[in-house]
Amino acid sequence: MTAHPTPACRHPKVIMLHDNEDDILGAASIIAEQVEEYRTIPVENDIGELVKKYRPSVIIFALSSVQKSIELYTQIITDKNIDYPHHSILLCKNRESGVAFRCCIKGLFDNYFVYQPLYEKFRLKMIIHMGLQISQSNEQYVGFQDEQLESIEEELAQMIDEGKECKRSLLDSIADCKKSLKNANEEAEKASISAVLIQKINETHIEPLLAELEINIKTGLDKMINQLLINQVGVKELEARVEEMNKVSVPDQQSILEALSNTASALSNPPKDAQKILVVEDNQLYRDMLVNILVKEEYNVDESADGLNALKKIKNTQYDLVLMDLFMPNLDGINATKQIKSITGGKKLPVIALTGNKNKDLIKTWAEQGLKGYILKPSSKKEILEAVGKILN
Amino acid sequence: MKNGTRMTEKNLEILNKNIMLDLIGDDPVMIKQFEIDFLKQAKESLQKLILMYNQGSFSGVKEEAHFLKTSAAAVGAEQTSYLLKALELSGEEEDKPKCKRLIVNIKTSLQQVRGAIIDDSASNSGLSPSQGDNAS
Repeated sequence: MTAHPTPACRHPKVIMLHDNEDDILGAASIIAEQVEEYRTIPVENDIGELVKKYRPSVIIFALSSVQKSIELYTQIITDKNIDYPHHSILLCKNRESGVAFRCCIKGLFDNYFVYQPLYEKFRLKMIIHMGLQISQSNEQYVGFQDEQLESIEEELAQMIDEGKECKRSLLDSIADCKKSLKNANEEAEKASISAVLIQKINETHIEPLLAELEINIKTGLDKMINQLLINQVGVKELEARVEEMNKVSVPDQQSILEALSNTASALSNPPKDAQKILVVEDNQLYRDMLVNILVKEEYNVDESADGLNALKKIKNTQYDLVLMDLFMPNLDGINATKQIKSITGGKKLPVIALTGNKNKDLIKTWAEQGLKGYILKPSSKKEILEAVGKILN
Repeated sequence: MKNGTRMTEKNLEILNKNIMLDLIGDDPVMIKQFEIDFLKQAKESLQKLILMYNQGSFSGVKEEAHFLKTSAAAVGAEQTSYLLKALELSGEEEDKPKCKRLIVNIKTSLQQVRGAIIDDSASNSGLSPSQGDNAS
């Protein structure tokens, strides 16, 4: 900054564009007092190139009319000769101050100043100062020193300085608050992000792990319980066996001799084990009675509780006779008798019906399947043995 | 039936001991064992009959009546066997009031059979006098 105008500065930070040098003399000298790196440039054909070359921070448009200044500024922008942050100031005549004000309000220029007539020198200096302050960094523009300012009473100057400090303090406090608020927001944002991350980790990792752990524990417990149950059953079985063994008393000598005698008798008179009878009856009580009767007559007796089980036995064992009930679960007597033919491969296995049913049609249907006789329940022992003997003998 | 006599409700015995004698022979221990087994079987069967009746399963009533009828006839419980045959038919006809009446009568009949088989003091069949009261 210098007290003298330097209109031919090589790298001006402030330039004033004009189309009539006489019009700007007053304003130019004021600015030249304030800014060392300043230049006035008449508008010619290469004005855009010059602006581009100098890259000034503050551009003052001081053409003879506001309209010309607007046209020039727009052209420079359109030609991309200004493509950086800058501060634009419109100088106008007093009669065009309304248009200039409108241009600033609309945002085309950053400020305006009435330079014809020029009444407020310090107002122009203030506008230039503000422009440089806004468009340049603190290192680039240091502003005014006290000695550059007009002398005033010391008391008043002190008051101004105190007021300045007071305001600075306020601004610093506001800045601190803003900073704290920003930090708080950042912390909150971080906390929020952390919370989201924790939740996501929980959902994707922790919760599945916990679920898996729960399943594993449950499975392990189930296995342990099953094992305990198996062990318990095993212990009970063992206890039952021990109890059974305890019941078995050692036979005395007389019993052994009798048993040996019976065995010898059996060997000399072999039982009718060549004649094997299958008793098929679902009522266990009556089945036991029949088995008891037949065993006493030394028949070799086997038993089944239903038709299906009987067929399985007939398939695996060769019987000489079957006593068959009619109504049984799984497979009734009629259908079981029908199946016997195919199981024995054509070999005839005699079947005697055990029935309490007097339905002649039913008996006839059954008889057609190859019955050899029937025993009406409950027949006597004599009648049963006669029916059996008739077939087997 | 026995000796060619026609079976009617009036001339039927609660427990015809001759039936078991004819079937098993003169073996009192064996006969007693079958009689006790019958009481046990009858208890379970009566419970099933009541259950089937309460569930409205007439086929179940019919099958269970037929089942118990075989052993009742075999041990000589002639009245019980007769009632079971009637219940078998009522089940087939899906006659609910008749089924109910017969089940109650069968219960009474079985209590009489028990009385005929063993002394009350020696009874361990578990057939209580209230058996069958659940039929509703």
